[in-house]
Amino acid sequence: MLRFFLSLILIALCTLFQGSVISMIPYINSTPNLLLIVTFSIGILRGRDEGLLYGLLCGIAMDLVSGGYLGFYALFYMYLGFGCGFLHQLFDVDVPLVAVILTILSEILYHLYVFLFRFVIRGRLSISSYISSIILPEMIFTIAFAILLYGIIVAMNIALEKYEQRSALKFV
Amino acid sequence: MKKKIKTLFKIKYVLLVLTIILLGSIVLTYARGGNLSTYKNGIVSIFSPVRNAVAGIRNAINNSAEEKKSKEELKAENEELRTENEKLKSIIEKYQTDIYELQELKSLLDLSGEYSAYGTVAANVIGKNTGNWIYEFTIDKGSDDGIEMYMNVVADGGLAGLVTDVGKNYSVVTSILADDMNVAGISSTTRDSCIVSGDLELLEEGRIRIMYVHGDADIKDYDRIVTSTTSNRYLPHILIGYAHDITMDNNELTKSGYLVPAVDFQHLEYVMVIKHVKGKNKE
Repeated sequence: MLRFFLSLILIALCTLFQGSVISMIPYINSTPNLLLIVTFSIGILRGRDEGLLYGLLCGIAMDLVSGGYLGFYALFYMYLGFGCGFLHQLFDVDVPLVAVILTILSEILYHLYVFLFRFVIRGRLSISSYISSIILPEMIFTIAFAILLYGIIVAMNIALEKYEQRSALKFV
Repeated sequence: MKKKIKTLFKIKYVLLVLTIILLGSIVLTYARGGNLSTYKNGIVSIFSPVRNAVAGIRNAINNSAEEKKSKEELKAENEELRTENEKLKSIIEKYQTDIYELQELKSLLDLSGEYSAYGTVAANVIGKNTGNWIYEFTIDKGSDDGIEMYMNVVADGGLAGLVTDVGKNYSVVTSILADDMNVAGISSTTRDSCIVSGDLELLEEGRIRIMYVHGDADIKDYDRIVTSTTSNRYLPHILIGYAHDITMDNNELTKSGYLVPAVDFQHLEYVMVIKHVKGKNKE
């Protein structure tokens, strides 16, 4: 239960940060996708079920603060969280490189999704210019934030696991 | 092993159901023209005061930076402002006579499309660009302040965008820079009509596209492009921006070019929402 509330707070903070705070910070001219980081982090740390749940919540948060169609982002984030859940326990999670590689992969998927369903569908096909003006800047900033945020989420996960073990022992 | 398969099956089931629900939701909101206010209201309304506070902090930081200016700087600035003030006063005098003239001409033409007649709501920009693909921003006024879907938003005397989502105390404005926004425009000097279309490719250059200008049209650089009366969403005669580089297309039938928006989207802090939805309350 504690985990659920803490994750909710984390998602709320990231949404707020992504939507309102980032634009105030100078030199950051592309919005990093913090909710994407939260989604794949929870997916890889906690597995499919929780990846799906928190991915869905992140996606809904994203849908709520932007004016598009409700469910558009939720659908993608849900599958991303679920998909990252398959990587659960496959490799060592507390290496920053994991965060970097996962950021790059999920950013590529995310941009492909948006590009296909919001741009190709209207006949806007100039992907090369989108890559240089939208995708690469966002990816760089997201990677920078990912190393930090992923560290926080891993630390939070370790602390929570300890707490859960302790409270489980109490009942025994 | 059996258990593992069972849990996988279960989560697949959950995934399927959720996918259907989300797809349904996308279709539903698409059918309603993207209006999600009824679903969204409850949750995001909680966010809005926090985002207001964040915007407040930003303003406070800006103000404190102002206060730190030294005495000499202030004196010099004061001097500068005084001379500027004098200059502006003389300009105002000139404009006032122009306005009288304009009013007379307007009454002659029977142009009642002026948006000042509808009443406006001033709003702060409290959030920008959650993603990088669609250029939209959030303002701190919502249905409580009488804002409705598809109201026009202006800033710096130019068209900034369209309200595309309304909550209780916030609304989301999709700017004219957004890639899927199209505005029917008209050149205020030559009366040639055109379509102003947002384009992500040009976003960095700070310009957007002008399309479907008639081949015979004579739109020159820096001509004012205003919203057209034929637009179904935008009120007429709002300045959109200034035309630039209009050239003949390959088909030799239409012209296209670029438009520099009148609004400075980089430094957007305050906007005005025109409290009128085109096509509604026609009386």
